[in-house]
Amino acid sequence: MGTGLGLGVPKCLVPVAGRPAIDYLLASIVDVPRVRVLVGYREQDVMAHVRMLRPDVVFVRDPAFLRTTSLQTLQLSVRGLTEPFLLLDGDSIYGRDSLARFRMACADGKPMLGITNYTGASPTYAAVRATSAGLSVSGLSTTHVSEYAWAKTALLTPTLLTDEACPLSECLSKRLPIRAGLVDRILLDTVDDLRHAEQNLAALTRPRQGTLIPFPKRRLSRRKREKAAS
Amino acid sequence: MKRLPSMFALDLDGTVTRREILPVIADELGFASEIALLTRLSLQGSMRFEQVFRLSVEVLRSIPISRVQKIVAGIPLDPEIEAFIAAHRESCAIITGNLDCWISPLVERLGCISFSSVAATQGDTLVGIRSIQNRTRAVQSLRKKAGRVVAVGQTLRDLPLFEESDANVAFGGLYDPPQALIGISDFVAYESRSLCQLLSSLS
Repeated sequence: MGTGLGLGVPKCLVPVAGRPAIDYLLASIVDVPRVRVLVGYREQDVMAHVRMLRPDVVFVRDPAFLRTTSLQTLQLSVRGLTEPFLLLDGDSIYGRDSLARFRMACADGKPMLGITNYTGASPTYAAVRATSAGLSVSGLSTTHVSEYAWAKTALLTPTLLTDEACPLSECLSKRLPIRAGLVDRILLDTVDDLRHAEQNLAALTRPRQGTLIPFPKRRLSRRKREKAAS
Repeated sequence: MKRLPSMFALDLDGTVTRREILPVIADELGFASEIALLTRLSLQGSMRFEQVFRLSVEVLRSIPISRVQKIVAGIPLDPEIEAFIAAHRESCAIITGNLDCWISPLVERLGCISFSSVAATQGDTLVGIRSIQNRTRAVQSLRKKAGRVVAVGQTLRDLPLFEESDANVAFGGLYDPPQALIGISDFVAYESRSLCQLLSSLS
């Protein structure tokens, strides 16, 4: 909802270098023909804005957004779908190139999780293994600290989702290992995230070659350091 | 889990058609300002649809039915929605408060079942209204044919339809759907192509 940023707007509408955050994501998926946008907090504002850029979007309403889990909201969003779908986080700034690479890697329609080395304030850590076939996520956890976080980005199939009232990461944990792809992604949770996104915006949104942007390591809170140590 | 088959209850005016039917008829017959006022009051929710409709019919009843049918036959349909109905005739139903004798050319063209108000006629003359279409009853009737009813509408007139249906799509084709309608919708779409893609996935 954007409360951590204190700007009084939904996170997807938080201005990043003068433009609402979701504008950058919509620009990255301009070629995607069927887009559903889940709306909850201040839905009218979000719909009015997104419509201006993508009038062909279908909005999925989640009026009970304060109570629904991430799995339940995703279940709402994909109602009726039988084919694989790409899950993207509208509250984030993605590196345009890395998202394009991720999408390309998903072209075979097999499940894939997007992972990032920018872990953010309250990450779902991803335990990542390098195999001969590439990267794969073997664990998702909010407590077992890892170098990577799940970027709330994935290619999934509706059959992977269960009818439980639990977080999506918990549901996906039961389906692991799932292959992984790296994405540049900054979740706009805090003022630090916003500053970081603005500082790196040019690099994130400009087409470029090469490796991922070297995000600074976030200093863990004492509570998390203690948890990790134990 | 096996999905239940769906019936789609589609509002006719401004959803399937690209123009509101009564104002088009009135415009052709020289009653545009009178019907526009009544339509506005209906869309704003200031007058109940039944009241507006009875008044509108009183204004237009002296016109031969065949003449009105000719006007109605020329009203453009949304091509995407028409194609969707053509591909799903058995699972689509048109819901409209308009009189059956007036809209028959459109219903025949669409080829699906319809729920409308029923006119009392004598030959080519409209003599009155036999019954005004009840959207709640229409949904109840559709539910007997399918596991669930998916409603598509865009004005306050569609509130009873949405309240009775199992899933609702507010469609901003001709008008922006009012918040009262969006508030009981599951989906909101503004383009007919994306609307039809959504409906296909829900079929």
